[in-house]
Amino acid sequence: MKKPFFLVCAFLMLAAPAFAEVRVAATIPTLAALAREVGGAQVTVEALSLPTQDPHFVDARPSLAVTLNRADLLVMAGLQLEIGWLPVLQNGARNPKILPGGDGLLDCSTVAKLKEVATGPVDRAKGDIHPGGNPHYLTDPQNAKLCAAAIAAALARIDAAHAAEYRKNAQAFSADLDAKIAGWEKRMAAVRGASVVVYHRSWIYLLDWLGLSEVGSLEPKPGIPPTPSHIAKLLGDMRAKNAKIILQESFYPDATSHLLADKTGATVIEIPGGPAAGKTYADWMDDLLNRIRTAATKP
Amino acid sequence: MVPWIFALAVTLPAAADAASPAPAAATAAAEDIDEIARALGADKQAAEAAQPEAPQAQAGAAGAAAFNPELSFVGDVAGAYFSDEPAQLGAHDPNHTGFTFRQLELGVRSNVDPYFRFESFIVFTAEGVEVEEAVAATTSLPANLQLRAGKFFTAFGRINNRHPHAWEFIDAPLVTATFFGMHGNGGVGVEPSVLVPLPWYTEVVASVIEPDADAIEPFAVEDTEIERFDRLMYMTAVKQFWDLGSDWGLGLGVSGLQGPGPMLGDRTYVGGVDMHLKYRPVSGGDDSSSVVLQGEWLGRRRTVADLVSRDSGYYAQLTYHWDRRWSAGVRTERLSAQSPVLELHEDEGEDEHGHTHVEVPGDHARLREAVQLTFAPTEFSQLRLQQNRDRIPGRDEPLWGTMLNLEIAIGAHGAHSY
Repeated sequence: MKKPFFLVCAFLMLAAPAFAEVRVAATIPTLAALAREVGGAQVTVEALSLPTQDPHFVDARPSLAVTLNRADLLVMAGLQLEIGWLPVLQNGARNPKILPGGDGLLDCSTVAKLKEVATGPVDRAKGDIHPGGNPHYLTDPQNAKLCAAAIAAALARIDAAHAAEYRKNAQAFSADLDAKIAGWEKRMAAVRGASVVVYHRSWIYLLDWLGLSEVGSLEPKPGIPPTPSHIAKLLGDMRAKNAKIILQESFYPDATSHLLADKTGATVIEIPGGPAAGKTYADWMDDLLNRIRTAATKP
Repeated sequence: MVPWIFALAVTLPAAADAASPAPAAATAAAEDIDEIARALGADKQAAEAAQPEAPQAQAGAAGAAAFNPELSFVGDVAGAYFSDEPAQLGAHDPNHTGFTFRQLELGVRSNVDPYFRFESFIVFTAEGVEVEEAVAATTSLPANLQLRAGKFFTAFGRINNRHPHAWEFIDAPLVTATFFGMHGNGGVGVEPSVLVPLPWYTEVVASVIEPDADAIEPFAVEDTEIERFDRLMYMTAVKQFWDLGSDWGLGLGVSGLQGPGPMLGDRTYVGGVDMHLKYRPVSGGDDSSSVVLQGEWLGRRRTVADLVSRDSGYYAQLTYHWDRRWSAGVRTERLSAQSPVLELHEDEGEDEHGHTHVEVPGDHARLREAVQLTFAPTEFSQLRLQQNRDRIPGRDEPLWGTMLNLEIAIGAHGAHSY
């Protein structure tokens, strides 16, 4: 019994140099996609959650602690988005690098431009609020650029030998995204001012960027499921403001959204919370904007 | 890292010397150290001179509160009805017809410094205040090691070191409450553990504790002074977990412990296996629904005075969450004998150690079934209704128990274990 175990350990030790590249773990698929673009061939990136999963309620599966155990860099969204599950994994991972204060922990909210930062007293009677700001900041491509640059800086610190490459990748990503942003803004100018209903208040960055107006959210308060009286009021508001779009991540329930759509003629857009496997941030944004434009221009 | 290297250097001076790269470096060290000491002294003076400006920049309310530990309160109050004399075993179980103030648990958590994390749970009940856990854990040991020290619940099985608000049922399982006492298996001691470098999650946990004399009747020591090592309790557990695709997860554990019995010289051995199978369709289905099958089996061998007694028990439970708010579960339990009642069979002789073996007939098993329905408006509040049917040896009628529990959680947002 002991001998095979020893051999396995020895094999793992010998095998280790073959995987000498930098290992990155990202809490959400969008951050994983950014890390892949910036890291290029030098890094392997694992996302701790799927685009079909609500990032507030990820299970702290022990297998994720194994991923974090081997990670050189943990990229997180911060602002308490992952507070219900990430601390358990960090504490179980036996990896001081990815603990608070470690070299390999990057909280992207420290570099993003944030909205809805609480200025007065905070109170959970207002729902599941995030006092540090709305954590869904990656729906604004400007924030994606800032996060990509921060990931490049973190990778450069960890793997100085390839620092120039990471910076170059981040610059290329940024330049490419700038060109795309210009195209997106041009394309979306036609629907500027359109009224949108959201399920959870996770789209404020996108709506502000594109000049869309939020009529309301299906959740009466963040994290609280729709109630009949609130939906009745929302229905009135949608009709008054001619809201043509109901926007929600695919992991939220959609029965109420479809009911509202049937009654108002609006289109329900259900989009994964981030890029699917093999897709880039720009792919995801492109898909999202196309669907918004189509829905908003529908006669 | 540095303190550990320092500790190694102190305890293993020979090894440290041997590790010096070259003799030349060793001879030069004396002069170098003088130089380093002078430089450090100069640095310290410079730092002190620069000091007055830094705190002013940090001043303000945020600066003063910045190092406060995270605080949270979990409160549980229950109403219950029992059809007969209640026989609940857990310390925080509703235990009479009427209202029970189960507990108010104050959680205190903080990083201590770059080397330790501290966590404490102080429980207020109608009987008074008790420090259930107060434990420091290392954060930066090499080789995937972690050392915890303080007062804590051991990692035996699955439910033992989880606090009642993380359970799927209101009351403690019969088997753990019987074998480990009303509070669970815990005490003051140390717990080294290692995450084994395998492709799947494998953690090996060991602990040595002085069992808590007040709380843990089965292991209670008469005199609290530990004069011999056999008054300590030794526990080992191996925990493994496998991802079965993105939607399924399987956890298996094996645990064993040995500790003192009720009287000097008595020994108690407990072994257990636990499993946890969860289905949650995160890859495209309804992310807010899940089904969990969980169970533990424990067996115990005790020597009490001259008698050897064996008993065992299990619980198995199935919980279904159909959305973020609603869940329901069923649980079945069996406890082979109502310890420490021992029945002596006259026809059985003594073994080579002079022990008399005791067999407890199977119809003395205690059987309990429970169903529960839970409504959790948010992560911070929860209402749970539970119905028990308890068949207790020696009673003609089953004991029916109905419990309704309200739980609130305020303060720092807790993270949930899997």
